Amino acid sequence: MLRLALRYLLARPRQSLLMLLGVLLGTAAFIALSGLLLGFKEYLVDQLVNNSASVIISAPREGGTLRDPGAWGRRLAADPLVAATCPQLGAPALLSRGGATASGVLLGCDPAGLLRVTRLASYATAGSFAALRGRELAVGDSLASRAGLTLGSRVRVSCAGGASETFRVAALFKTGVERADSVAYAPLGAVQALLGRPGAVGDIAVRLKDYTRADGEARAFNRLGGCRAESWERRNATLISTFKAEDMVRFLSLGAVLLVAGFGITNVLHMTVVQKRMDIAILRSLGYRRGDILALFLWQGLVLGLAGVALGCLAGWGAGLYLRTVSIGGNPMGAGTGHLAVSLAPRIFLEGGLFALAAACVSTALPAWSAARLEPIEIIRAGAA
Amino acid sequence: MGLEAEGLGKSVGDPAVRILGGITLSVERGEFVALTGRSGSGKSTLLHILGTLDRPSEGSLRLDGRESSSFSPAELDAFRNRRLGFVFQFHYLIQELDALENVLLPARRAGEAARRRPLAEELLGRFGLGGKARRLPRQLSGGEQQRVAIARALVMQPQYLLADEPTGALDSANGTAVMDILKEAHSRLGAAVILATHDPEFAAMASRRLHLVDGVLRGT
Repeated sequence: MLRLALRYLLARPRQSLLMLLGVLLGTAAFIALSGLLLGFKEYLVDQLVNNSASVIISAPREGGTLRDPGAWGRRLAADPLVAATCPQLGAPALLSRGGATASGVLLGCDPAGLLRVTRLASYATAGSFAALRGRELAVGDSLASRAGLTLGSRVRVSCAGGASETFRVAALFKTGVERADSVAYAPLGAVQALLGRPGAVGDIAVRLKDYTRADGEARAFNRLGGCRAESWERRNATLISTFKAEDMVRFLSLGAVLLVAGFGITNVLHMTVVQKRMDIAILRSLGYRRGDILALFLWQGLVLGLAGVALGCLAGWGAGLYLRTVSIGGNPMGAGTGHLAVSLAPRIFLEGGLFALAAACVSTALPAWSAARLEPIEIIRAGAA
Repeated sequence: MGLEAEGLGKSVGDPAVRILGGITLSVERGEFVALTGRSGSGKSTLLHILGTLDRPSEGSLRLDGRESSSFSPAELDAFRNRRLGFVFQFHYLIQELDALENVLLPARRAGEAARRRPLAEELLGRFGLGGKARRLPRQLSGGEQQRVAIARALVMQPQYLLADEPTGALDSANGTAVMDILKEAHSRLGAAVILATHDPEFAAMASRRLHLVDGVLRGT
């Protein structure tokens, strides 16, 4: 019956094309929209997971220092889930050079440790993180431009309490996230000395081997007491919840487009069934079964669905590739590359394709069923009269 | 063996109107039977019932010795596919398929399209359509289309050929050609032919005549 189904489709090229276009557009729109939303999500999760720690263990009180950081260090080193750690001490600071002054956060850390915990090094635009030693700074793009800093600049760093010291800018970086780009990193020892708190550690950034286990690990740290541990998910709870809303938007839009396309298929095939009543009666009188008639129309839907999905995937892929070239300048969405982040994950094509195919089959089922139920004798009698 | 009807009747509608009643007849293999009567006398209905397209409301029908009501739907479909050939007043070809594909439709259902293809081509050739096997129905004349439909009815070499006014829509030259084909099918393929017609000239070609008046058989 596939052969006859194809002939029927080819005999009405305009109607077939319209039905095909419905499936095609539904699939392509879903893929492009999903690519955008998932690309954005992947970008953000990547930022959240890789540019900050999986878990941050802080002092129980905001701005305090962690008791016995040495014991934490040994405990974390023995923890099989922990990949790397970096003790940090941060404080608000003013950076001034010449007449320009900008406020930001001065963060003391072990530069080598920090690079194992986050991926900041890959955002370096000048100089090198790893080489940071003594009174040297790695300054975020936003802070650097506000204070007028370039590589090699000397800058006065002042902290609350009046202590100040001159640092040299040894590296610059840009993550695209304003908050992260307003930080100046320095070796832990230099910051402890500037703040007059030798040996003090404000928090420990922890990278886990598996970032999805951050929540459980943070709870375990909290049970140990004497600290406040937060996972990356908890720190960004509102953002995570918007991802779920995005998934709903994706599937609702897919559903809306496919509903329209599906109605189109149902309508056109219903018309075909009415037009082809005589063919159905003849086929039945020649010994074709109800199942054959059902197959005759289901094939039409399946062929339309498969062709529409294949072309839709191609179109969606093309649209995704095009969107990747759209420049959006300094917007956080495009940070790093300066272009839209668009995901072309196989999963999107699979989801879009399966849903569109299912929609095509479901919308074919009703007309196919009504065709199979026709009584040939009634058609022949009506035709003869 | 053959088609045997006993007390066959058909009522339709509500309140029921009896359009056929008390039909008792038997058609043996190899017979040529003409079924005559005015239009509305029940010829088509009787033919549809004998061809298992319609169900009788009373009486019994035996197909090759077996009660028709004991056939499953799939068995009836298979019986129509392999044992019966239908020719209707209008050809009813599928417009999207060419002549040869239309002829091969029953064979395709039976899974014998390749095996029966030479026969299909031979039938078309014998019916004067040798060079037109690849034409679509709309590229053929009415008489040619009816001949394609007869080839379609014969391609499975059925035991029974049921023809319902096959010349009704044709001019006399084409009608005579169709009748010659039916006679040839009867003599060469050995199929029993039941021909419904109101043309006495064509009815005279049959070996036996059945006359229907208001749904009841009158004389032979």
